[in-house]
Amino acid sequence: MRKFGLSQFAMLAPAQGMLLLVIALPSLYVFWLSFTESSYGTSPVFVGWENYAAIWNDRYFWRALVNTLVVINIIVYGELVLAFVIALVFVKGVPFRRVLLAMVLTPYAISEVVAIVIWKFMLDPNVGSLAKAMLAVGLPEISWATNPVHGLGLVSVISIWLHLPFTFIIIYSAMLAVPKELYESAIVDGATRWQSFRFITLPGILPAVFVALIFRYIFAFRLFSEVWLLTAGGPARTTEVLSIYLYKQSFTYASFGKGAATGWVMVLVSGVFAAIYLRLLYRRGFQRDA
Amino acid sequence: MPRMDRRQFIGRALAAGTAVATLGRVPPAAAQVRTKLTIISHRVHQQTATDGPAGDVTRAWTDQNNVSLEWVTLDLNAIHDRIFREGGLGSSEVAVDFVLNTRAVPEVMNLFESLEPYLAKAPIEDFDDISQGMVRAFSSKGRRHGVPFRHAVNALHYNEVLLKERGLDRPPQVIEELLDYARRMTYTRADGARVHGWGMQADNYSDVVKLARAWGGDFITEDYKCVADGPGMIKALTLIRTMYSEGLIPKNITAMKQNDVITAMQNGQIATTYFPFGRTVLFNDPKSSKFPGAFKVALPITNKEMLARGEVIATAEFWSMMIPKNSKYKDLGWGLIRELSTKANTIKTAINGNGPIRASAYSDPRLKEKVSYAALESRALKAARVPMPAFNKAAEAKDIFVEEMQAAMLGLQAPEVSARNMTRRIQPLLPRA
Repeated sequence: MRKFGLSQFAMLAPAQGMLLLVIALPSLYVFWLSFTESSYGTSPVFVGWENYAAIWNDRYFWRALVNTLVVINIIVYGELVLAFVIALVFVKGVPFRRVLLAMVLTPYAISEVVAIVIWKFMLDPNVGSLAKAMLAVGLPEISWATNPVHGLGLVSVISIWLHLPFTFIIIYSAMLAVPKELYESAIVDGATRWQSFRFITLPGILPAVFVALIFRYIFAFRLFSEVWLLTAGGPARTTEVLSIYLYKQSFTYASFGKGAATGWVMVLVSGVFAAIYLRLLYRRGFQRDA
Repeated sequence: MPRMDRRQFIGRALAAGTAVATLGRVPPAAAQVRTKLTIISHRVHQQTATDGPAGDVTRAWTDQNNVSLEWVTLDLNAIHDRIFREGGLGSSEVAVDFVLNTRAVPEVMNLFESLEPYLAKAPIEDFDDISQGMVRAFSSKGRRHGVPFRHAVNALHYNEVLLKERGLDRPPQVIEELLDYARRMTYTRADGARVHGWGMQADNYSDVVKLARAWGGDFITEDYKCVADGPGMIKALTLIRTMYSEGLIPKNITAMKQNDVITAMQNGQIATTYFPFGRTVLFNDPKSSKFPGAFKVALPITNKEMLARGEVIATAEFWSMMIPKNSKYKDLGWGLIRELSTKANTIKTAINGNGPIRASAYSDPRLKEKVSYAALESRALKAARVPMPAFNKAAEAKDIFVEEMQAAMLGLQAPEVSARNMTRRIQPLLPRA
């Protein structure tokens, strides 16, 4: 075993110190804040579990939580399926691979805010080019501004479009890393294409899939700009997600205690999801290699 | 060419850098390094103070004091969030904050300087000429904290070209005829463009409160009673519900921000709407409007009885300039406030599209000549009331109002239910009289 001495600690210290400074300490401060009543121009007053009880009894919190869970599952799994299919097509070989690869990755190069505003303009029911084109070919109108199902549906579509390159690149590179010899052996053994996929491709990329899932779940849980710029949680707060709820509590109502409590609930819920996937990742993937 | 090793390269580079730095150093007197003053405001404040037919009214003062102004302009919620958060820091570069009257609650006043010593040391020109009602709204415990800069009295803006296309010679005047007008003004133009008869800011309360007042109702009284469950508000909610269901209001109105409504007016998608008087400059701007010169203003819609009596319904909100207590540049901040508040500069900013806060401004011949709506605005200002008084939980009350109003407009629940919910949910948030 290698020696782990003072010099190694010293080399690690800056990074660890930075993490402590920008993540651990602010998190502890927010945790303390969640037990206080605090606003602009007033000193925080300790109120115990009052903020947690208030958000527990707030129907808008539960609505936001349900909206968040529904939307992030649509986003994460929709993105996964699409990324999977596109990666398979690329692995099989496509003409103009570099050009097509650049096209698939393009949404990641566009500013999130700009992309959402462009989608909003294109689907404006009064003047939007895409909205008009859809009507012209007989497709139904998307009432994203007034119908919460349509609104959250569009949020999901935009989010998948924006973040697909992330999941795609992870799965595509995992597929490329599967040794070709395995496929050749499978052909020699008389395996069908489905069997090759089921017993070679899938086990080979599963750890990467779990990594993509964990990251996308955590990122998607923070879903904010898509909803804020599109519907701002409306109409009548029906498309609100947890991050919008948190933002309103903290920065619109200046109720920092409730905002902090919401933040910690979000950390706990996303932590539970991450723990489940990490466990699966360990059991299905890394445990075998250990 | 002789080769240079790494040490020689670094040495020469350092020597060259030092020489450039030494030669480039200018004596302090000639440096003219301007002090940077940060101002947090809405875009409209910067625009009316620095741009428009009357030019930049801050130029003379900034040159004289060797100062440059950095305007940080944000949306309504973001402005106040930034201002109050900056106010909580140990010290700040911000010299002047622009704060809206509904946010000037007693709890935040201790983040700002009391202006009494500043007024005693270097008074503002003819301070009594400035609306003292607005000054009182920014006072706490007998101390004044803000100097009014802008009022936003609402007018009815209409597109005269579209009105004429529909054979109408005047905009709606009374609430009883509004629905009929909106129906007649909703049509498809010859070029295929769809026009909606009525537009409103559906993410705010002000427009619907005006409709409710025209029906004899109100939202929150000055003695903090929520009366939104009265017949006036129910009629207003029923009216917007009818207009929405008949397509007289744009379908995506709940997702339209203030700027979206302005763009829709400029493009001719909306024929009539409420906005502060000064916005007519923007609607008629040839650079951004498809109908420059076609937008006119009228007094907000009232009812038959009030019209017969010559009474006016108008809502106004106003902004004041405040000095953060933690500012590093308090004296310069006060200097800028004094400069922007002079009689001459009040007229100039008004010519640039600002709502002047001096009573004398409306009798000024320059304003009468340059601002076509001055007389109308003066009349509206005399009758204007805030759509909602200031209190600590005003932001929550606004959100509840918007939520219930949207639910009624979209047909998610009956207007009576929305009106009842408003009162039930908002009354506990109000201060006890």
